Amino acid sequence: MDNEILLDVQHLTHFFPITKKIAVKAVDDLSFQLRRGEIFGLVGESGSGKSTVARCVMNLYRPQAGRILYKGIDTCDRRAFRKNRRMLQTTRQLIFQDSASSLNQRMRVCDIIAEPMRIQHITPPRGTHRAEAAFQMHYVGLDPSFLDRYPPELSGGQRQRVAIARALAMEPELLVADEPIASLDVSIQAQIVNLFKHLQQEHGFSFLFIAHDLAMVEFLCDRVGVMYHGRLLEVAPTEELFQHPLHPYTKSLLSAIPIPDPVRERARKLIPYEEEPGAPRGTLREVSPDHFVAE
Amino acid sequence: MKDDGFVIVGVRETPPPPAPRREPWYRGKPLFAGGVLGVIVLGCLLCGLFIPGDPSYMDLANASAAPGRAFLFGTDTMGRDIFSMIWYGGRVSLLIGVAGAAISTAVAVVLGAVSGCAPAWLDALLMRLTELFLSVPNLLLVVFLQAILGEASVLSISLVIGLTSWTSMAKVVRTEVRQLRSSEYVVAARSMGGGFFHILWRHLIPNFLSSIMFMVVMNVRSAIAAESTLSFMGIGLPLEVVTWGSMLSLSEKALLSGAWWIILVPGIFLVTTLLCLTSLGSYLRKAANRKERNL
Ligand SMILES: Nc1ncnc2c1ncn2[C@@H]1O[C@H](COP(=O)(O)OP(=O)(O)O)[C@@H](O)[C@H]1O
Ligand SMILES: [Mg+2]
Repeated sequence: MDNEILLDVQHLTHFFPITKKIAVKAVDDLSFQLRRGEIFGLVGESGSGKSTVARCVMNLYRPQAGRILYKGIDTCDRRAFRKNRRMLQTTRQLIFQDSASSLNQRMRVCDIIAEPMRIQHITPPRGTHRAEAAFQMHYVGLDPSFLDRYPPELSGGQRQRVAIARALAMEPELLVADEPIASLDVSIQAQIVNLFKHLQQEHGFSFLFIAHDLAMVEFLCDRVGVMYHGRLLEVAPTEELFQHPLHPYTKSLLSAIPIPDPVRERARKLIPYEEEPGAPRGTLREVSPDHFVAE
Repeated sequence: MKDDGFVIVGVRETPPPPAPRREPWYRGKPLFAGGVLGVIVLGCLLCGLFIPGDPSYMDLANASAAPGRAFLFGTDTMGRDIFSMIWYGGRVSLLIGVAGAAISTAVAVVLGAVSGCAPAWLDALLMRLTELFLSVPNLLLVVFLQAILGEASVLSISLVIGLTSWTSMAKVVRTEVRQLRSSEYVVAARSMGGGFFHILWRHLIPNFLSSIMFMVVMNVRSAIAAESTLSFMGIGLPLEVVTWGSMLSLSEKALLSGAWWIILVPGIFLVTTLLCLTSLGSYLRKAANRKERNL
């Protein structure tokens, strides 16, 4: 991992208008950076705005304020986007939470995996689209006999592997995964996370991994950001965050992780977190090297 | 306590449930209508094989001959053999039906999909225009378009019929696309750079095809009916172009001379074809509804 910054999110703000007067502030002045080859975990409870961040990063939503620099290109700027459209669309890939809805039920697996290549008119390096799909499937641990199946005939874990194969077929430099394991069984979750770790080591892509399961984040990620109500409360390297959590919300989240030791598990206490109303909206401050906390 | 306190007795023997009787494949399918329609279509397509003569040959000596050995269905007032005219004319009638339905389906799919994907203002504009189009009497439009296109030919009349019968299908397509466009596989295809026609062809059409299929069949039916009506009224194809409709347009003279076969034979073929198509269409509609409920 070098220190080149691949993705730089600056003061990102996004609301969803409900009526003319009222809007939901899904993401509120959020900044973080993703270095090349790094796995950055974004955690937070459901509704904290994680998916909105992912969709802004992928240009699916236009943020109301802030900038997102990818390789130094401001992707929210229409002109810059148009100029680099092809590069942006091929080198950034998104994996959704629910593979049942992110794969078209009426397409065969080989067509799903080859779809990005067809869209971008890329000649597959292994001759045919089918051969390329078979190769990618082998890569993510799927049997080539699935090539002609339709998604409803596969299990959740297999479908998520298809989605991963589709994303990796483009050799992305940035992979964004929005809770890719949340809809899977626990044993399958571990398999998929292992697969991610393996693929990341192999390909070296940068990885924005969104989750609300802290155990998986601890295993997979290099750095972690904790989100709450659209804001980042704490950003730190994984080990540092899990050893020395500073923000009370982080402490509360960590206290909710089950411990695989019955004695300690019974002694585990949940630390509740209540945001004091009217508390000042903290800005991130570096307390120790690379460890930022909102104060 | 006895040693054999525990005896494994196993589960109670139960007779295996009777295997569910497999429904025969043809149950509930419009076999009769399909068969009759098949015979008519095949007869029209292959009529060159079993009809040696020129269908428009006028045997003036035998004008208005009753059905008999020489002329199976009799001849018309100009001495043409009705048996050969039925099959050759059926070709043109069916061609107009298919071409008219194809044109109206293409217009409906493209306009409906544009409207369904467009921002709210364009959607509203397109739908108002569609309603405006819908409120103009079809006959008026047909006459108007005929005047623009000039001398009626098979192509022009298909075009006229196609261009006046897409509105209700476009509304259905729009509603379906509205639902489909926010599904994650469409979002995924868009973030990979898929254009409008890629998404329409690969993702939207396969998913809404079943819900417009019955309208396509009904459009074939109404295109055939429209051609017959127009030709019957004398504003459709000229008399030299043999179709079921233009054959019917001789009815006035035929009635005067008591030659019932001139009306009855093409009338029976026309009505039978229309009824078969209706039966097929309503089967498709029921099938689509059933699938919707099962999802
Ligand atoms: N399309 C939308 N329209 C309106 N509100 C939305 C929409 N998407 C998300 N929100 C709101 O934005 C907030 C953040 O949502 P989201 O980013 O999905 O959170 P997360 O992924 O962390 O669960 C939530 O309060 C949610 O209700
Ligand atoms: Mg989410």
